[in-house]
Amino acid sequence: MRKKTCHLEKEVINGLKKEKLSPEIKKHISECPLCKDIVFIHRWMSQFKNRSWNAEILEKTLPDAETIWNRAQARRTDKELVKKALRPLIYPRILSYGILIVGIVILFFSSIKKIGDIIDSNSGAGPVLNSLSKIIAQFFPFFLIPMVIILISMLFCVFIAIFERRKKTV
Amino acid sequence: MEEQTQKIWEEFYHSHSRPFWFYIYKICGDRNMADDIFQESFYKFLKTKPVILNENHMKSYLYKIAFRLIIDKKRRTKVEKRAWKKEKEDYKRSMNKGGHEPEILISLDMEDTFKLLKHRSRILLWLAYAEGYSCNEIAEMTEIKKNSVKVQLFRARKELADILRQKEYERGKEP
Repeated sequence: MRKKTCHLEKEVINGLKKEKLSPEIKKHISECPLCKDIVFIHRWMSQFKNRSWNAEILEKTLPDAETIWNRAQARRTDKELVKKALRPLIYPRILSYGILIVGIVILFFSSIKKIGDIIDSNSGAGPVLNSLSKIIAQFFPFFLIPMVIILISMLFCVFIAIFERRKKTV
Repeated sequence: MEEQTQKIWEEFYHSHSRPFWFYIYKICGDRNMADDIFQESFYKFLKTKPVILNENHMKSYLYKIAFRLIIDKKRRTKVEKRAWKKEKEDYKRSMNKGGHEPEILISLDMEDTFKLLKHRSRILLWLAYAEGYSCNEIAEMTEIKKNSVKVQLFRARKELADILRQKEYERGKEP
């Protein structure tokens, strides 16, 4: 495998930067293919940079420091304002997610009887689930109620998401 | 405090903005994209980093942001060749102001050669040989491991050297 670094690489680069190569380094460069490449590329890159620097960069107008600073500040304030505007929505969002979770739990427990029927009663879990469902059924007799809760909270979530998006674009 | 920060920022901007734009432009090869990345880098810089670090850290942080943006933008756009055709005309025009025809042709040939390399290679070569940064500094600027920088720099150097030698060889064959 060809070596990828040379122990004198640093010295060669420093010499090139100072445009002063000692005779030992020059001798090393003539023997080391890696350092030869470094010198070759270093010179080419310097020439490449110098050739285009004057012509291109001097005529280029860049925005002044103040403009960049002000725009960056404005961006920061914009983001802060969006955050501030959306802050009141955090609580309804949490509430709607909470309702959604509660609704799903209620739905699960209200249909626990069916689950109990599905699971083989011999396995042991069936009778437990069945008795649990009897207790729950007294509190939540209607299957419709949890469904309505879920639907309302889902609509609420969608409404908040749309509202949030609109605020962000504004 | 804010005024002092702004003053430090302005000094930093005055001394580094032109070389920084030039670096981005040389890597992207597209003025509009260079302008975008240039401004975006400074906005990100001001957003995340208050001007409290020393100049070298600020500079390397700025280059790090630009590196990410260049790689990200280049991943999304594959229009460099088309852009470079248009750029070539602008480039010729700007070079015409101060140079002679053969000089312009050499410069254009150098531009073409540099554009044959991958962006990562261009970045590494530029930082190492045009800007003169050490491997440690490049590693900090690009978030590439130091040893990996050495290896990638070696490959980029070899690639460019091969291209240049090939071109020399082809030129030598021309009558």
